[in-house]
Amino acid sequence: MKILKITGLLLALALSPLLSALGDKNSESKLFIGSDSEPAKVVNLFHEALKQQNSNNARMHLADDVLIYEGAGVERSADEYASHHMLSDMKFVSVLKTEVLEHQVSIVGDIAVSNSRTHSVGKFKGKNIDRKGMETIVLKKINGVWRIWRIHWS
Amino acid sequence: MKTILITILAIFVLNTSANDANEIEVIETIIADIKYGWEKGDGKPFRKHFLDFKGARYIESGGQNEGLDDLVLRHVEPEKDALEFLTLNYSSIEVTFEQDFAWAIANTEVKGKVKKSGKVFDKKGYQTFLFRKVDGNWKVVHTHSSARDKK
Repeated sequence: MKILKITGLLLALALSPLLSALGDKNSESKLFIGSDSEPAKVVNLFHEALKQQNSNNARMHLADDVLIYEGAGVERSADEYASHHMLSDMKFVSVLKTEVLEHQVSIVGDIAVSNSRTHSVGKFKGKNIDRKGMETIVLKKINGVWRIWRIHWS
Repeated sequence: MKTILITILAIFVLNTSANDANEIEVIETIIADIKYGWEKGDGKPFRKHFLDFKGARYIESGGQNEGLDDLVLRHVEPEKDALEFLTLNYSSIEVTFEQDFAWAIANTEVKGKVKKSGKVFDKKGYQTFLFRKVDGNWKVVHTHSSARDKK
């Protein structure tokens, strides 16, 4: 009986890292849903283009009539954003190290909704930056291609 | 023949505009109910108009609630006790439809007083609402609010 108890204990100890890993995997899977879908890839490519300060690539992923809300400001077309805030956004994100904490994407027909939460750290214009960012992006399939149609950043 | 075609087209355009106007009114009524719910700390409008689904996220300036219960039980209803008053105004509401999906954005002004600290906040910003039509009814599937202190 004692041997059985000890064996059970040893088995439980041996399995605990595995069970813990499975738990982590489960909680991680709740945080990242649809993050390998086509609309998610477009969102990631857009961020990558901003980080690389590649304005042509960043602009390419935006619908012409995109609306971008950030804080208390708004930009009402891709051209308006590309000629104003995109330049300062690119400078800002290019010096930060950004970790995506969670990303969920859902698709209904020709519309996709992408929500994500990020943590960015770094130094910009002499100031230490350490902030959490929230993002809502709506994408629309236009002529068979997913484009970013609405953005809300906070 | 040409006159008949133009008349049919005109009727179609007028009918579409009228439908959109009705749909906008429905969305605006839902947003008005949500305003009431926030101001009164009443979860009922949220239970009525929000689609309760696993993975739902509601974002408010740096934080988020996950799922409808979390929003109602941990955010909306506790504010009734935590705040001395809360006024929330939505204005300049823009709505765009894409088949069974609707996107709405509103200018927001929110003012309140925290009971415990006596701190008064007075902010303005934007709120995004995303809707899906489910069984003929528009349901909120996501919200994102961002606000800054008024200068």
